[in-house]
Amino acid sequence: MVFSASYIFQQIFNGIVLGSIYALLALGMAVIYGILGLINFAHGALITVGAFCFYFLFSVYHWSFILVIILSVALGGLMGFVLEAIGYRKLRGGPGVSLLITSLGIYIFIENAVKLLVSPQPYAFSMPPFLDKIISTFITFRLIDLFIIATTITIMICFGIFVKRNKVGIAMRGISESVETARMVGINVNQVIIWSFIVASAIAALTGFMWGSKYGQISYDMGFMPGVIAFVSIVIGGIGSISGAVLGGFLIGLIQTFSIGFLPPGWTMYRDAIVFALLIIVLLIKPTGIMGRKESI
Amino acid sequence: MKTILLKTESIEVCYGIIPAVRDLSLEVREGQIVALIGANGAGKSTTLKALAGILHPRQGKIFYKEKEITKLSADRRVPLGITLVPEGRQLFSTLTTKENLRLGAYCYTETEFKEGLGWIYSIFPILKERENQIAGTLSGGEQQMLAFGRAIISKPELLLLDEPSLGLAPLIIKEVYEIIKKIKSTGINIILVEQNIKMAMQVTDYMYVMEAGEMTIQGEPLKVMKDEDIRKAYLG
Repeated sequence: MVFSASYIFQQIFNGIVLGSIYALLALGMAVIYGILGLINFAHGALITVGAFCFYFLFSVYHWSFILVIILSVALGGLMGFVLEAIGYRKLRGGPGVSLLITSLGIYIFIENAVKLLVSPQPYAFSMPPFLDKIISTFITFRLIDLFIIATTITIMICFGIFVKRNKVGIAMRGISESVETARMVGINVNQVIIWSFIVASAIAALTGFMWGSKYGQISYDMGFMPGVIAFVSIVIGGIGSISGAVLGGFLIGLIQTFSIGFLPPGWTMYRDAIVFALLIIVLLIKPTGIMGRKESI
Repeated sequence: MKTILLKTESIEVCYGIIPAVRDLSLEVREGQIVALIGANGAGKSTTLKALAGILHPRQGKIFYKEKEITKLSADRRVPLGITLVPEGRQLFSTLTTKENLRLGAYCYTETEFKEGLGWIYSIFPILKERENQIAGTLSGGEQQMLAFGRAIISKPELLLLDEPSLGLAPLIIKEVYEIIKKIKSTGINIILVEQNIKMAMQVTDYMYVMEAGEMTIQGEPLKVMKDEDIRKAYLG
């Protein structure tokens, strides 16, 4: 099989679009992991919440696009705040596994709550027509694809500045090194944890819109696989490293796309399996992940 | 008599169920460097951790400026003016010098931090040179200075120093004690925990000697040094 240059570039572009979504999710998960040592499986549920919030306000109530985006993101942030307050705060300081199990419980709860509220049927997702516009040059894409990439880059840059320049951002990095020391120097650790959940969850809600627009369909269980893949991204990238998580997200996006674009047609169904095979390979070769530091003893 | 800044009333501090400090009462008055001395495991660091709010006494009370702070957590005590320089420095080793200082000044705004930064750099010029260096890669002496800088940028009234000479070369220990004198001259009160009694004697105004979790002798350094047991135990 021979592929043309434009076909290869098309696949790379598609991979970056998908990778952007994974990278954003992995970023949020990595931030929470860094601070609490928690793999927050509930993260995926916020994709679903964000997508349905957008769907109802935009497609059903016809509110303006910008306003609906803002409200979806705000709802995500609010849910992050509430989940932290009622789900995790009391468990902090206890065994890490109780936080993990709680996050699974919260995921299952939200997924089923959405199922009850909106029905188990998938919904057709629509976006503003201008984002649906198809542009065909060397490669073919829709404006939404550019929107996804541009938004991702913007968020990454803003986040990079935030953790370098802002005291809460620097504190996030400090806390992930040592909660004890952070408290000792006078950091209000609670407040930083709350902000981490708000920021991570708001971003996850935004990816709900991205996911829906990219695939044109949303359902109550749509958040599961992206949530798991975000987790795989942070393991592949190196647990504890935020840039590693982002790298992992892009890598998986590319590999999944390539496994559809370059492998024989019958292989499409294996695209998730390939991701997990990659995970196993990385763990065998470099258990700390690509950018992970060696665990200090 | 100068006013009392900090006072403990017969505190008992435990690790789990084992008491490490029993029935300890001490006072720090304005303008003083108070030293807590004693052998390994005497409970000095435990006492300091209780004063910083990292450990909480099971019994007894701690007062700061006549306000009870016994149950206050460490991050709430820093804005009140009590800051700890921990044993082994405990810097954020993956953060830069400047970022470490930013976190030391966490309760201040960006503008206030900039002012504080200028002040710290005037005391420790070397830190300005190392501004963007990762703290973990600094030399031992530089790390100790950063630990001091990170603590005093919060503008404490009471600085708690836990074994500042531990693990440092003799020459650097001298330097550290010069810094302690300098810090005192800026009007900051200090509680110093130290095993190196000769160094501690040079700077301190009042001494508490601890043994097996209890206070044994207290007084001005020269008076404490006259005690026969102390001379035997520490000066040979």
